[in-house]
Amino acid sequence: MDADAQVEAFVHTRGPALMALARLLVRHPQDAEDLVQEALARCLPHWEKVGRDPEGYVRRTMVRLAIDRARRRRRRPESLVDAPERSAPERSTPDRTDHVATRIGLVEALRRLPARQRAAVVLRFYLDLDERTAAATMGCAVGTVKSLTSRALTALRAEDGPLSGKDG
Amino acid sequence: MIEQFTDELRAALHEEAAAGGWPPPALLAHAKARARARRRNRALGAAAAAVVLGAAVAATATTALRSDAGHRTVVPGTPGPSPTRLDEILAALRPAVEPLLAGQGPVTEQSVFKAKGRSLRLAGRDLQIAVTAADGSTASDLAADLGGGTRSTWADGTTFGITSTSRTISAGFVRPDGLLVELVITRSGTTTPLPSASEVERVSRAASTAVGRTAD
Repeated sequence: MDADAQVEAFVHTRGPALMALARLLVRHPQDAEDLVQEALARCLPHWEKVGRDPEGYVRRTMVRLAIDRARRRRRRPESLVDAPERSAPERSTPDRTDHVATRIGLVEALRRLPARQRAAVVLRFYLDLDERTAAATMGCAVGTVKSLTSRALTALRAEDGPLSGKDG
Repeated sequence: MIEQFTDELRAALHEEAAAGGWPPPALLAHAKARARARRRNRALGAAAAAVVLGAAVAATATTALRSDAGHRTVVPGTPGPSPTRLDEILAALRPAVEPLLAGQGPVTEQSVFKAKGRSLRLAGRDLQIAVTAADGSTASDLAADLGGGTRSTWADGTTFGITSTSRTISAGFVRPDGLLVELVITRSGTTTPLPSASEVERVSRAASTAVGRTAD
C-alpha cells in the first residue's frame, strides 16, 4: 500500500477519533476541522516516517498546533462572536438533569482553560495517557504536565458544583 | 469525592468528543493541497517561501450544509453569506494582487515581498496579506489542489481558481509566466457562512472584474 492509500485508509478509520480529540482541544468547535486538516497537512509529507503509530504522530501534531494557535491568538486576538451559553438550569433537587448540567458546565469550563491546561486534561482524562506519554505528546516535561493538570483540575472544580466537594 | 469528580470529567469529555462527528469529505483533499503547497514553497527556498494571506472577517451567522462535493449549500430560508462582504474582501485585495498580475516588470523576490506582509483594514478588521509565488504551477493544479471549485482562464492566459472550505475561501491566480498568487481568506465566527457553488461562481466573476479582466 502506498503512502497515499495508507493516509486515506487512516483518515477513513481514525477520522472520527481525530475529530473528537480536536473538538476537545480547541475552544471553538468550528476550529476542530481546521485543526485536523492542518495536522494532516503537516504530517502528510513525512508519512513514511510516522512509523507504526500514525495516530500518535497526528495526535502530537494536533496538540502542539492547538497550543501554538492559542498562543498566536493571544498575540493577535480575534474578536469572535461567542456561542450562546449553554447554561445549566437552576434546580434545587439533585436529579439526572443536574448531572447533564454539570457535564455541560464542565465542558464549558474546559473551553475556558488556557490551551496547555486544556490539552493536559484532554490527554490525561480523555485519552487516559499516563503523565510520561502526555508529556511526550505535548513536548514538555512530566512535571509540567503534572502542574498543568493540577491547575486545570483546580479551575474546573472551582466552576463545578456538587461534585467539586464545595457544595456537597 | 476527587475520584467522583474525575469520573464525571471523563464522562463529560467523552460525551463532548462524541459530538465531533466525521471529518468532512473534502478535509483530506484540502490537507493534501496544503501539504503540496508547502512542499512547493519549500522548494523555492526561503526567499520565495510560502506566505499565507489570512484574514479574520466577522461573519454573519447562517446555517449551512455541506454538499457531497465538499462545498456547502445554504439552507433555504436562512441568511446567506454576505456577497457584499465577499466583494469587499476581493476588492480590498486588489491593490496587493493587481501589480503582480499586471506584469509590472519581472517577477522578483522583491515584488513578492512587496505584497507579502501588506495589511489592509476592512470592515474594522485587519487582514494580513501574503503571497505565494510558485513557478511552474498551474491554475488547474491549484483548483485540483483546492478540491474542485471554480476556475476560469482570462484573455491574457491568466487563470483563476476559487473554492471554499468550511472556514476559508481560497483563490488562486496564475499568470502566464507561472507566478502563482494564492490567497486564503479565513473567516471566523461561531457559525460560518459559506458560499454555495453558485455563490463561488459569482465571486469568481466578481474577482475577475475586480482585477479588470474579462473571464472567458
